[in-house]
Order: sequence, then structure tokens, then C-alpha cells
Amino acid sequence: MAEITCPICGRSNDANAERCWYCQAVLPHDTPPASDDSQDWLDELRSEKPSTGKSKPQPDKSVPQKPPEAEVPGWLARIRLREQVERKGKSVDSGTSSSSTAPESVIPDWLSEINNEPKDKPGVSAPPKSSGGSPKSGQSQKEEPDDWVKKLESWRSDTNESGNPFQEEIPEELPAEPDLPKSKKPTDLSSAESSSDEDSEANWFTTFMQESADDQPLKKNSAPQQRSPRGSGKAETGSLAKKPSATTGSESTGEKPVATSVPEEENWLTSFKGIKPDQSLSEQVIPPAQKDSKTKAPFKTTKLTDWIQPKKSTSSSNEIPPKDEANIKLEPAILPDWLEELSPKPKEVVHPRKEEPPLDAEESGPLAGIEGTLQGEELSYLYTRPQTYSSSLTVTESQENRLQVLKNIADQARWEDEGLAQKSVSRAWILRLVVILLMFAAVLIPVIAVKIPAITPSLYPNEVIQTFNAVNALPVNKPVLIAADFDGSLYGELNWSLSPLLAHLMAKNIPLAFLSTNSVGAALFTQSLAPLVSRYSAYTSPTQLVDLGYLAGGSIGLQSLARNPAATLPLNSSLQPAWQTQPLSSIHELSDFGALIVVTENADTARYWIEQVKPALGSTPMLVVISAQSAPLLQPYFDSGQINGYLSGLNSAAAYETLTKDPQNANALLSTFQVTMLLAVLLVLVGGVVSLTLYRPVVEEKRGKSA
Amino acid sequence: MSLNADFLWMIVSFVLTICVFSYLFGDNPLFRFATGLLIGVSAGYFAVVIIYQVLLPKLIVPLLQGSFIALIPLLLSGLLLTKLSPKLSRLGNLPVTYLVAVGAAIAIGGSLLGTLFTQIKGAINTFASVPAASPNQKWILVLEGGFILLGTIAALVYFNFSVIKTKGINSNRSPMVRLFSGIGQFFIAITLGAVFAGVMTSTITALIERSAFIVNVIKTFLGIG
Repeated sequence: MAEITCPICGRSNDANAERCWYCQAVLPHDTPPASDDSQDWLDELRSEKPSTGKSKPQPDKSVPQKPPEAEVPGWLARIRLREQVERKGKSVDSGTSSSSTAPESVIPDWLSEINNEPKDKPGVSAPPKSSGGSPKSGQSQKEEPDDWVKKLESWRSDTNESGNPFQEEIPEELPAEPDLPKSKKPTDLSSAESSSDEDSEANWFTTFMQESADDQPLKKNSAPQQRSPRGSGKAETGSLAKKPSATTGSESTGEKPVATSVPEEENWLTSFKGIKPDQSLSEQVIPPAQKDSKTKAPFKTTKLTDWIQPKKSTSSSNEIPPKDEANIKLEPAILPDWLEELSPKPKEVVHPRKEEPPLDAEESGPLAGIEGTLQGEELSYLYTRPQTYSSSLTVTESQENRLQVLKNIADQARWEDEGLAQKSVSRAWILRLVVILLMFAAVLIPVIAVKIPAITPSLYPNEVIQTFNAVNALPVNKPVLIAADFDGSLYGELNWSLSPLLAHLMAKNIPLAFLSTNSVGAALFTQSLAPLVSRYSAYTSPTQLVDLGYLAGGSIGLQSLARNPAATLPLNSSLQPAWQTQPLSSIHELSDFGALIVVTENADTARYWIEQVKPALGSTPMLVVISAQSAPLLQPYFDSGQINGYLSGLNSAAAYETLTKDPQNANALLSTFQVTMLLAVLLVLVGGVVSLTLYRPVVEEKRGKSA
Repeated sequence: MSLNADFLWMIVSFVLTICVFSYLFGDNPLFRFATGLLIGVSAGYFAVVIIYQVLLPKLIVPLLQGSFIALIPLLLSGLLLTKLSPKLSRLGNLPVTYLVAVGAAIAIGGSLLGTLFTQIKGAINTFASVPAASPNQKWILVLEGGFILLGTIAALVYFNFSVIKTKGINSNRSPMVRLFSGIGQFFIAITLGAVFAGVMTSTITALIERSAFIVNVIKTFLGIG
């Protein structure tokens, strides 16, 4: 059968194959076909081997060359013959479509040739009986140069002890089966293949390359090839099992010789014969897995010959070297170019270059001039930029509306408006000057020149009458406590309002004691008393007039005074005991006073007195002299009966003077007051009318400008 | 015209009054001098008053007399002075707390008992006097009391600015609230007008009093009066 040798892997392939069955390399078809003779194609193969790969080890020329016939062991020759015969048979079967029906009794010529061949081969002795340890074989092995056959015989003998009709006919070294351990027999070959054994199937190509390398000494030294039991066997059987037929689909017919599912003891040839094409190949090939505990290693490494030893080391490159040889540096394998191109190139791991910081020398300090010193922590890392917060405000719509109202008011009240600033200032100045002149004229004319009769009210205010009645009802022996809580700003008004009341009290010769929650109140009150004391000389004596001085603490002081006046103000303004002498010797509580008169210009001060002191007064009347500006705020307290009466402003003073029939300053200046008040009312009225007439909101002006 | 203390004080008062009146023509040194003098004299007088009428009779004299209870206000006053130092200001919190707490308690109590309850009672008394009044006065008292009650309620409603916020609807005060708010605004406007009139009355009275003083001084200088 014509075959073609793969230029890459050196394995023989079918002549019709376009690619190598082993390495899938493109096969050259111009190669002269190999002869049908197995020896011829082997010779051709040998002759082509050196040219197939550069990395093939060169034959050792020191070894004497032997004829090719003698170099090839007989078992190998028979294997290859068998392979050829198989291919022939397959091609014939596929061509005639009757291979499946070939009778088993018909033994082809090649088979008989194979069976007879060992006898004919001079260099190959009969397979030794492993069980019997035939002396014949033993002698012949000693005589023959192929000592490896003896090694194979030693481990193979156990497996072939059982009787086999073909055992004597088929040489021991012929089938691949003996090369395999029992665990790797063809029976579980398919399972091993299907399970993709890492050592065999995945590395079949590596094994093949090792075989190719091992073939060289085989050729040159005429020595048998030492193969790894598993690798070689599986490679061989695997190659047989997977090797496709280029002409026929023999896989579908299940005629693979290796795929025979025969008992372990049977020879592969027997199993080949026993294959039944009508049965499923898997059923025949894949028997139940068996584990043989008696499995032995196919080789005893200690008994290997010298020429095998180095080969073993190379063929078993995957094995872990011993510890003492681990340090031996192996030379990198020289691979062919095509294989180097196919082999994945290791990625170059690029390590980022770490730039080492320059070693700065210390410039100062005890380590000055020394490089590489540990640097202290930089202060710049310790301080961070202060966090800034947004100062934006969220303004709601209602707030914006109110802001707009406030802005409008401010715009209306703004005098220094742009463009109109000078005009406004001059106009405002003129207006102010006119008002001043009018007011002074209204005040001075009645005082200086013209006596304008005052309009005396026929009805007096109720609070004034109640005040008058309260003072009239005061007992003479009870002192009246006067709280002078006013300052100098409204002294004139209060003085006019207070004078008729004090005159009324002094006229009745009622003792007076006064204090102040204002620091200047007592002094101002003394100033008010001065003109009256000259009228009523009795009040020059301390028995009629007592100055209790300043009452500190505000509302707290008032509360203390209401609870215990003697403890709160134990001394008078001269730092003398005030409560042991007349007129206060009979006073133990505030209710013991004849009346309480509060003189103030502030409504809040009057309220404090009402809130804190009035409850302690009981039925003692409480009167208030207050500024006109605070009178409206005091009216509810009068209406509720918390105060018995009050005097406010010049009108009340004039009314009180009228009631007491003692006209003084109030009535004298009442006409002036009325004229001035009339003028002020007129000015307010005119100003309001003018403003209402000329009113034009600033917003409308801006809108008009923008429009 | 004799030269006595009253005359000197009259001259001083006249000059200072003129200085204050000078503000009618704008800010000027005379006005600033008068105001500065007033503030300084008032502060000095206040210090003298405090020393002679507060510290001496209420702290020093009791301490000299052996009253150890006076040490409490002395201690509190000392702690209050620590407010001047940022480091020791925390020590001043104790007297400040005491003052604020006592003052607030007294103010609240006085406001409730002296103003709120009594004002409510006063509003009620207006109607309470109606049965005893004559038939003609009944209607007057009822109207007066009703007017006061309406003004009080309306003024209080006016200061109610809170509304119930409803999702999806423009929040606004109810019509009834707005009605009473308008009435309250009217009463508040009248009150503020009355206060403004009182302020004007007070200031005009002060103007008349000072104007009369100036005229009298001038008459005194001229020998007319």
C-alpha cells in the first residue's frame, strides 16, 4: 500500500491523505510512493528521517552500522506489516462492501505471513514463555544482541500465562498489548481516551516526538526502542484507534483492530478476529472497567541497558528529576522552527519601573551631608484647606414678597436717591426749616406777645377725677410712697403733670417717701419738689419727706419691695436707717402706706409696678403720673381697676389744677399747648393730604422707566 | 440779678438746651457736646448712686456688721466679673443663670397675674355691670363691652400668622381669620395712632417747657421778667 511520510513528524500516512494524520501537516504528494514491502517503507522512512527535522539527534557514528533488516526488531516490523495489512483489508472491505461479512475462517495471507514471520526472521527468536521460563528463549536471548527483548519478556510473562490459542503463534513482542500495563489494556483504552488522560492523550504529540527521537538510536544502533510503557502503548494503540482510513470510513464499521473488546488474556490479533462488525463498536471495545491489582510496571528501570538509560531520561522528561539532579542545569531544548512558531510565546511581564526617589542629602542639622536619611513628616500634609460653606440662603416666595414690600418702603423713605439727591436734600431742608419756624412761632407767640385764651374743657377725664378723689381720701397720718422712675428726657412734661399732685399732697400735709428704680429719678424728683418745698416749708423736715434712694434690681427689686420694704430699702439716701423714725416707723408693709404714686414716662415701668407691687398694696390706692405718650397703654389697667387713677400730660395737669383750684404752669401754658397742638395737627393733615396726592410708588416709577 | 448757684445752673441749662436745639439744623459739635456731657454725667452719677445707695448699705455695711449672708451676693458678683475674661467666663454663667431664671420667673408670674388674668377679668366686668345699669345705659355698656371684646379678639387674631399647609393647595388663612385679622388691623391702627398722638403731645409739651425756659432766661438776662 502506498504511503507517504509526513515531512514534519516523519510518520507514515496514507498516500491519499492530504494532511498528516498525526500532526495535520500538509503532505507532499510528489513523494514517491513507498513500496508495498514493509521493509521498504521502513527503509524509506529511515532515509527520510534525517531531513524531517533539524532537531533530530544525529546518529552516533561511533556505533557500527548494521543492515536495516537487522536493525529493525522483528516485532516492530510485524506491527508495521500488520498495519499495512489492516489498511489493505480496510480498503478492500470498503471497496467490496463485504468486509463486514468476511468469514472468520478466512485468514489472509498477511496474517499467515505474520504468523510465520517470527520463524523466518533470524534476528527474532520465538517469544519466550513467561510462565514456563523456557530455556530456549533464555539461551537465545543471551546469544542475541537484543537484550531488551529479555527485559520485555520478564514483565510480559505474567500476562501471557493463561492459555491462548494464538499465543504460541504470535510473537510476544508483536502486539502492543504487552507494552501496556494491564490497567491500560485496550479494554479500557476507550475509556482512557474518553476521559482524556493527561499523560497520554493530551501529550500524544509529545510522545510521538519522543518516539521520533528514540527512533534514531533504534536505527543507528540497531537497538530496540525503549518506550514508556504507558506512553508508547497508548500512543501506539491510540494511533491505531484514531487513525482514520483515508479511503473508507472504517471507524463506522468498527474494524479498528485495537478497538476489539476481548478478554485481557486474549491477544490483540485474536480480538481483531473476534470483532463482530454487526455489533456496536462501543459495546465491543469498551468493556467494564477492571482494575488489576497485579499490574506491574512494564519496565524495571534497574535492569535497563546502558543505551536505554539516557534515552529514558530524555523520554521521561515529564518526570520529576531526583533531588540530587535537580540542580543540574538542563540545556534548553532545541525545537524546530515550525514548532517554535507554533508554541505560545511567554508573555513578557512588564514590571513598572519604580522610580526611586533621589537621595537628598541633609542640608542642616546633625545629619548634614548624609544621604538617605528618613525624612520627617512634612507640615504641608498636616494642614488642610479650611472647608468653605455656602453662604447662599434659600428664600421662599413669601419671604421675597415681604422683602419687596420692605424694599418699597425703604425706597420711599430714601432721601438720597440718585439724581434727586441734591434736590431732595434741599427740599427736605426747606421743609424742615419751615416746620421749625412754624412750631417755634406757635410756641413763642402766645408766650411772648399775644395772650391767647385757653379753651378749658368742661368735662374732666375720669382718671383725673379718680386721682383727685383718691388723694382727697388719703389719711393725713399715713405717708405716701412715690416712685420716681423717670429720666430727664421728659422731665418737663412729667414735672408739669406731677406738680399739681404734689401740691395737693403737700397742701394736705401728707408725709412723702420717695424712691426710684432709675438712678436719676430721685434727683429729678428732688428738683421737682424744690419749688413746692419753698411753698410748703413743713417738707423741709425729714419727718415729712424721706428719700429712700435707688431701688436696684428692676422687677426683682419691686418684688422684694412688695414683700418686705424695710429689708429692701433699709437706709435712706443719707445712709441712715429710714424705717425706725417718722414717718416710716409705722410702716411694715406697702399696704400701710396711704397711697402709691408711680411717676414714669414708660408704660412698661408702670406695668412692672402694677404687676409686682399692686397685689401687695391691697386696698391702698395706686396712682400713676405718666407721660402722654404712654397713657393709651395704661388705660386698660385703669379700666380694669388695677390703678385708681392717673395723670398724663399737660391736659391732665391743667384739669387737676382746675380741680384743686390751684392754677400753676399747666394752665398758664395750656393756650400755648393748644395752639401748638393745633398747628401740629394741621401740619400732619396737610402733609398727609399732600403725600396722598403726590404719592407715586417707587415701583411704579421703575416700571415706567423700564417701559 | 444776683449771681448764685441757681443762676449758674440756669445758665448751664440754657446753654445746654441751645446746644440740643442746634440739632434742628443738623448734626453739629454743640449737639455732640451736649449729648456726650449728658451721657458722661449720667454714668458718673449712676456710679455714685450705685456705690452710695447699693454697695455701701447692702454689701459693705452688712459685712462690716458681721452678716455672713452678704457673702453670697459678694461671691455671685465676683463670679459675674469673670465674664470679662474669656478663660474664666464660664464661671460667670452661675450668677447669670440665677438672674435670668429669677427674673423670668418673676416676669412670667407678674404678667399672668397682673396683666393677663386681670385684663380678662376687666373685659368680663364690662358685661357684668350691664344688669345693674339702667335701660338706657345697658345698650351703651353692651356696645362698649362688645367693642372692647371685638377689638381684643381681632387684634389677637391679627397676630396669628400660621396656616395649615395643605399639599397642592395654596396655603392661606381662612376667610374668617382674614376677616378678624382685618378688624384687628383696624384696631391696631387706631391704637398706634393714639400712641403717636401721645408722643406728639409729649414732645410738644417738652418743646413748650424748654421754650418757656429759654424765654424766661432771656427775660432774666434782659431784666424784663
